[in-house]
Amino acid sequence: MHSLLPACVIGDVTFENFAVARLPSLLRYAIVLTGNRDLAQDVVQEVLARAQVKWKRISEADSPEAYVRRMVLNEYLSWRRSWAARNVHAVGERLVELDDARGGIGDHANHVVEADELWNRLAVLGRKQRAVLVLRYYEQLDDDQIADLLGCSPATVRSNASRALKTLRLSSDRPNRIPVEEKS
Amino acid sequence: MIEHRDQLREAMVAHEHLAPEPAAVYARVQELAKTYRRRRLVAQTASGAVLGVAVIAGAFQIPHLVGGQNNGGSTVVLPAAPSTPSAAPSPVPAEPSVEPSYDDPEFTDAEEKARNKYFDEGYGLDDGEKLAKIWKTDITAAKTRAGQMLLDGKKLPIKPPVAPPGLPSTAQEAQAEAFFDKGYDFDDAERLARLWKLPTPWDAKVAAGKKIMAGETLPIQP
Repeated sequence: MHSLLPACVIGDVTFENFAVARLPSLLRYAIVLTGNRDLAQDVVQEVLARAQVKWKRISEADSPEAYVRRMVLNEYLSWRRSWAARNVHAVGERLVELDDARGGIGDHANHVVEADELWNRLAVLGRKQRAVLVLRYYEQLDDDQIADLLGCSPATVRSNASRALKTLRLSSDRPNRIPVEEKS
Repeated sequence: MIEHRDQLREAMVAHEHLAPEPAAVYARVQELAKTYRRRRLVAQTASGAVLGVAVIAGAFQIPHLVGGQNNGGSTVVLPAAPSTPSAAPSPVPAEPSVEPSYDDPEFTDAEEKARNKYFDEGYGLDDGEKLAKIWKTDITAAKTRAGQMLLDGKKLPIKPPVAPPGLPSTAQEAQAEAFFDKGYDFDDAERLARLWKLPTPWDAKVAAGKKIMAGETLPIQP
């Protein structure tokens, strides 16, 4: 079927091949990074549209995927648009409700509620701090790699991570349970 | 530390299912790319683009047809895209051979300004779709036109967005960000809240950020 696809063919990798294989993963990355479905969609759309237009150049990168993921990160960090209207967690999307719908009970339900609470608390972080946590714990990069991506020193990465963990009440000198009443 | 890693990773992975539908996103990507191409005057074969969308959209639907996973009814997982760890960020080279660039002339300064105004006013993708239908343009053009109208003080033919109650304004977010960028953290916000007798650390962050942005110093050091 690929012979029927439009241009953008570079070597063995077409933009379409790339999109089919990696778009779901990029969208998961974007939702974790932004915490908001609409924003994740906007960020990935903008990035992939640019990527498609200059696919020749991107496909020449050592790793087109790493390149595009980096574009997603930069787009998120440089997003100058309104967060107030976007930073909303749709009630119907809350994990606890999904779990209820599936009939989850007991420890598993508690586990889900905790993950849901932590996810909501991630929304209070600044973009850089959230990005550091996502890169460190979701992308599983080390601090040197994160520093390279963010264009800062590893010490700054550690500082951002430390502040973020404190904000989330996850620093080592604090209990791991998250106080539900804390909102900021 | 290990516990934090597990907790955070679990919370993040558990919410991957909130990701938008790939097929819908891909269709929009094609639409946007078309606009960008036109703007950049890049000669590119347009034939087959529609077929491409259909083929790709079909490819995204295949897992449904063959019984692939569907987490929470929202995320299609393709065999080629392992769900976690998503990144497998093939170690990003210290000096990538190609650097991402955001200075492409997709938008003129005036267009960029208009688009920023559009988003700063709280309008989003859905609004862009409505406007595009009303004006019979593509979404990108609709957002830009709407932004220019907002800059000119004109009203748009759709309802203005309503910020959900309880959410911080953009200005407050900027102030809170200034607070963190200066090196202060949550503990400092708690201290300031006590010092200034503010109801929450969030209020302290906003008040402190405002002072920082005005060049004033705070009563405590980060």
